[in-house]
Amino acid sequence: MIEREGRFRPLASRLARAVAALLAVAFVAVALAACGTSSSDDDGGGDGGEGDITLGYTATLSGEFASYGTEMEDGVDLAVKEINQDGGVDGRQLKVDAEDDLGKPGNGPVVAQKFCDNSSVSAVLGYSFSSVALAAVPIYTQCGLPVLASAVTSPELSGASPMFFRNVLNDDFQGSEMGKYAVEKLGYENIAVLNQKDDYGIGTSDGFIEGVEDAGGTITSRDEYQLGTTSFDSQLATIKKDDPDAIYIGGFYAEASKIATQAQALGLNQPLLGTDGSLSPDLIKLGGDAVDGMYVYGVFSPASHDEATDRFVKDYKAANGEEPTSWAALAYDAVYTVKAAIEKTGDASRQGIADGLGEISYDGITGPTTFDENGDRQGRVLFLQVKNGKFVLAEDQ
Amino acid sequence: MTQYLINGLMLGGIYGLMAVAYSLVYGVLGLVNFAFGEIFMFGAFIALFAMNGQIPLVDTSIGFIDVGFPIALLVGVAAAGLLGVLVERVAYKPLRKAPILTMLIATIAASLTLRSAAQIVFGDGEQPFPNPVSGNGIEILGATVQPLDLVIMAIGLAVMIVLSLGIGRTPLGRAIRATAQDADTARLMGISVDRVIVWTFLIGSALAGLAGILYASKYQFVDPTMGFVPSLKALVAAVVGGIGNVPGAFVGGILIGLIEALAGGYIPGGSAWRDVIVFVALGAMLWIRPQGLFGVRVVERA
Repeated sequence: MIEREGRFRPLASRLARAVAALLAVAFVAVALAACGTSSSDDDGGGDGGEGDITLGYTATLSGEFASYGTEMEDGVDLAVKEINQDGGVDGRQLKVDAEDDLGKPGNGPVVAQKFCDNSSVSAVLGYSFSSVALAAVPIYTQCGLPVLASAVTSPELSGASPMFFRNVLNDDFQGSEMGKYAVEKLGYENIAVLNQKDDYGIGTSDGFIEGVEDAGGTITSRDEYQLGTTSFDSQLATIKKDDPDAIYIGGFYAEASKIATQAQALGLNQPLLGTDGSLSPDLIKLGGDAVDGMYVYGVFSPASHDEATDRFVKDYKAANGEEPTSWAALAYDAVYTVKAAIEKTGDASRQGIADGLGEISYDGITGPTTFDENGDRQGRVLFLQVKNGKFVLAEDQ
Repeated sequence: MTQYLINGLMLGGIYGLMAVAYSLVYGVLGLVNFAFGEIFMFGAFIALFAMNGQIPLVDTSIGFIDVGFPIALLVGVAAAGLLGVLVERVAYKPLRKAPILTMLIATIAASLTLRSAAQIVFGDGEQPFPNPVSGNGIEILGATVQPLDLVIMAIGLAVMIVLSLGIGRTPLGRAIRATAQDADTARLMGISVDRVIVWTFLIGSALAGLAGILYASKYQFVDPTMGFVPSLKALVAAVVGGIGNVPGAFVGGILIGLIEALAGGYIPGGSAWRDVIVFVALGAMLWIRPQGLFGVRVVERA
């Protein structure tokens, strides 16, 4: 037994030494490789010369929250196909390089570094989650790669980087537009507010209340609820007592439809106002006639009939078999916005696109796009109403 | 005030039914059956399918009876009861001689399995459930009481009375009480303990299914995850009432419903925190009276 141990010990230590040596070699190799790439992208990348222009696309493309990401991707793909058929951007074809961020903030910097290191990538589109985008932004700032995001609404992203732009409107702005609309156009003076207790619900409702009060209206009560709440009896009893002119629901469709059915059952017949979180066919499926007449806002509606929108809706349906959502429309517009930026400066390099985005004014299917100094969009909000089981443009915009 | 009380009573009736299910099974087996939350959900789904006339199966669907709410309610309750027995036979019975912790884990496994199965077979996300008793609300002391609320309270009360009488006065009830008191002695007295256990699961699961159907009618939706939070509250209701004590569980349920409704109505900003308020209030109550409201302090069996 003792002899055996004696024989094995040198072997074990030899093995350990060999493994350590291997690890050291691997480490040096990785470090060298990293140096190599980081030195090569210092010169900017996304060359302004010949060949295809590559757009990076990243969002959450798998798992429970994949729908925003896949819808945006469908919008991007449709725009790229159209542009390439029409002769490309300044005669150059567009290409898309897609990466799944799995919805994890930890993957934000990983994906960003990948795009930065790939010198053929000129701009990046997408992003489903603010947290992922926030983690990625410093990397883009460092390598000078512009991002035009389409679904991230956190206020923390405002002015986060000179390279970061987004064409989705922030919740605060949209909420305040809704508030003004409710008072000035719809004539509701006393409004009760019920909101989801998270960044989204609080952001849009703060904006809404500000909009209402600026326009001279009054908020009769404000109550909050957690995502996933099923019973709104207590909140609605309070509202019933106050008897306001309208009820604003700052939250998603699942809770909004329950509030609507329970309000109807309680005999509350006030008109309902909602957000883009309720702009979903599921609101009508779940809420039935209780949501009829409800107003919501959004940046895009398949129901707004102009030539560009009709063409987009038709082509999108043909390619994907369903009606486009506003996420698909925003991502579609984002591709055209990058095209407009390149054409503005005549420069398809990373810096050229970033400069172009700061200057352009592009009119797309989600309305006009210009960016302020924080990279936030100055846009317009559409007001829609549920009528006979469908969202239609509200009469008074 | 009246409005909050009515809401609380109605919600409490639903929690109470399910709390009785927990209490019954705990009384007989000393087991907390976490799968009741999913039985609750299945009951509601089956009742909905009976009204729609079809059952969705992944991407297709098969025909099913197409009936009105009263029959659909009975079908849902019966299906829930049978499912509960099936789960007991398949998942719990083989473990009956195992330590109680093993069985507890089996109930959690059954709960997760049934929930995932529902998500795969019936589809993820919410589906609308029709309001079975429409009609205008009735004004009582400034509160609007819907006909449905009255129906829910009436069903809850009726079921409780029948159940209390059944457990107190019938041979089966006597066998259940005997088994709860001492299973080994009951067996020596010629009671088929296994049969008693099957009956307990049948009755308990039917009650959970009934609660699920009433809950779905009230809030007008079904969802594969709908049973989770109500089942937790019902479990707490059962503990507060003195677990193992059937009328106590029902009273516990009513109490939880009332605290929930009043906390939402009277504590500023309380609506968003009402679940927390409920659990804290009940924690405090158990600290004062650990055996529950109607429970008897018993020495833990070795």
